[in-house]
This record gives sequence, structure tokens and C-alpha cells, in this order.
Amino acid sequence: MGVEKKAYLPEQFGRVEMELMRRLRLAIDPLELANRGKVLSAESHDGSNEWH
Amino acid sequence: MALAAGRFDELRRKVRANSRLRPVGAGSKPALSGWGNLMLEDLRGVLEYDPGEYTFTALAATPLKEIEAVLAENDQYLPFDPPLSEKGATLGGTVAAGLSGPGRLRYGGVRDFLLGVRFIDGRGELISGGGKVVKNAAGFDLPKLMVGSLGQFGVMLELTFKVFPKPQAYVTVELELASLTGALDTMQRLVGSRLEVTSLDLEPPSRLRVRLGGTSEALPTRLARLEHLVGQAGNVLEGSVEQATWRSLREFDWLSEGHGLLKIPVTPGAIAPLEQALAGFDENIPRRYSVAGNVAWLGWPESLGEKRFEKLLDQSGLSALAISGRWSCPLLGAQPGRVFAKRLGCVLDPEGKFQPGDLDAT
Repeated sequence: MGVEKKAYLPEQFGRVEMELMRRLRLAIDPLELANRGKVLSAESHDGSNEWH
Repeated sequence: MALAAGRFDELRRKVRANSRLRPVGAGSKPALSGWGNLMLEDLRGVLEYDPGEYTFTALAATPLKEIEAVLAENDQYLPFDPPLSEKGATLGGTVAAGLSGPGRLRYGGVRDFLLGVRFIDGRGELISGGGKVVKNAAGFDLPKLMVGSLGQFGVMLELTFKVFPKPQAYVTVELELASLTGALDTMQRLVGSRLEVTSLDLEPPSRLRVRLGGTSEALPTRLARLEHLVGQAGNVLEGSVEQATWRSLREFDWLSEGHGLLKIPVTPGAIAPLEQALAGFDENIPRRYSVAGNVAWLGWPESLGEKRFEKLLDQSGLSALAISGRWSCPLLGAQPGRVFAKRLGCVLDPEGKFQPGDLDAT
């Protein structure tokens, strides 16, 4: 699945899965330097989640 | 499915209530299930199977044998030849241990056939990863994380696999070469050829088993090409004898009592030095090299003990996974991947319920 349909990812996976993927990503790349926003939407650092 | 849903809820409660958990399916890999306390043998059955789509979904502790039987009704199979199915091995255990058999050479391993997984993570959450279709590439590939995870990321409940049509027929040639060097050379020549060998195993020092699968009409020609390439005629096996030969290798029937089974990832180039190191022992150390010299299966005599095996691994720069026998920890030798696994473990299992420390040697 490409960037274009990224917004539909939460429809395929649930809230719990999206949150888990997010945390897995941050465990490996806490500063989100690698390909930010390609697989998961980047989280804005004020804590609001655009990926819900 | 209502039965499974109720059982899933019960397992989630168990995960939340316990601080130390290791799932056990059939216990066919005792060095890995070890002190396991979460018995899952009732979690069995094929939930969905669509022969037209070449995919199935089964509960995690479904015996491989049961799956093989269901697939065989449609002339389909799991081409990575999962080991130990006669001994009751389950689908989930095969994934957790990351084990593939001789067919990995031609078709890829367990990781290449796993499409989706549902599991309970260390927080007791039910997680779905991957998908139920062959073309799915959304999100992170959570199913891949489960391959070789040894249960440290969660309790697998359901697994979705893709399958292949079974080759119409097989033929196997047993070649007796003059020496280990000769066998390794021939092995490399066969892998580099256009013969599309299904499986290629070495029984050291110098016996090669070469398996070809495909249409019955094409096999005689391919066999002739093979013999021409290696410059000698071998002992040709067909039919039930041929099937039984590979079945026996998948079950490690060559392993004798008093030996612990180990899987050692190797390269063809590492075989000669390893063989030389093993020649230094008086004890019988039964072994086979599979997947064209990329996996060593070795029976370590219990009488030799763990320390001497660790020393052998250090000297050879190899690592190993213990399948049976008594070991202080199933992961032996250098494990650089543990750093990555531990980071993932912090996310999937923040309280360390599935990683009580015994995966790392102290």
C-alpha cells in the first residue's frame, strides 16, 4: 500500500494496532528520521494524533 | 468460531493476570517450550481454507499434520517442508521457532509463506497483523516479527498462510562424491545451474541428496541433465521410497538417543572449517547440512555438555538454536539480533512476561 492510501490504514487495522505500530516505530527510530510519514503518518509532537 | 472467541478472551485474562508466560503447543521442541506454562493444545483447527485463493487460516496450535491432510485434498501443500510434523509439531510452534525444512531451497522459508497473524501481546491486547490475502502490504509486517520470536512477543492465536500446488511428481538422486570438498563443489554447481533443484542436502562427509519436483513428463529429461552436470549417475529414488527419504530427514530420524538437536545457520563456506572442528571430538556427532549448505542440523552429545558447544560456536563464529536437549538458554553463541528484539519486546511486552530472561545466557 502506498502513501496515497495511507489514510485508509486505520480502516484495515484497528485503533490498538495503529497505536502498536506507532510505538514499534518509535522504539526503533525515536526521532523519526527514517522515511517519516511513509508507512505511518507522522505524529505531531504536541501530542495530537493525525493518525486516529 | 464462538468457541475460539471465548477461548481468546480467557487467554487475554490469563496474560493480564500472570507475570511469567510461555506458550506451549505440542511440545515437540522441548528446548524451546521448556518450562512453558500456557498450554494451547486445544487451540486447533483450520478456520478458513479457500483452495482457489491458495490461502488458509488456522488456530495456532493446529498440528502440521492436520493442515497437510486438509491441503492434500486439493493437491496443495506448504512448500517449506515444516519439520517434525510426524512428531506432532504445530503451526504456531513452527513459526515461533522459525523452522523450515529442505523445501526452503526452492520455495523460501516459513517467513515467506506467513501472511497474517492474530496474537495477544504482553498487555493482553488482541492484535491483528498482516492480512488474509497474498497481496497485502499495508502497515508494518507484524507476521514477520513472529517468525523465530520464540514466544517473546505474544501468544499467537491464528495464523494465515499462503500455499502452493503440490508438484505432480518427484525424483531424488543420491550422489556419493569422493570427498567433502567434492561434495561442496558439486553442491555449488547444482545451485548455480538452471535445474531448479527443490531440495539439496548433504550427509557429511560426501553424500548429496538432490530432489527434483515437477511434471512427470519433464522429470526424466531433468534427471538426465542433472547427471550430465555432475558427471556421474547416482542412486535414483522414486515413489514412496523417495517420499519417505525426505520425510525422514524432516523428522531428524538420524538423530540418536542422548543427543540434543540444534539448528545452526551456516554458509557453504563455513562447512569445511566446522567439519574440521567436529573431527576433533571422539564422540559421535550426527549431523546434516540442508538447504544447499545454509543450515546445519546437529545432534550434540549430552555427555559433552553445553560449555564445549559454546566454545565450538565461538571458535567457528556461529550461533545456534536449541530444539531439544538440556540447555541453559535456547539461543547459543553470538546473538547480535537480541538488541533489536529487546527493543521490540519493550513495546509488545512492556512487563517482560514473555521474556523472563532465560533467552539470554548470563
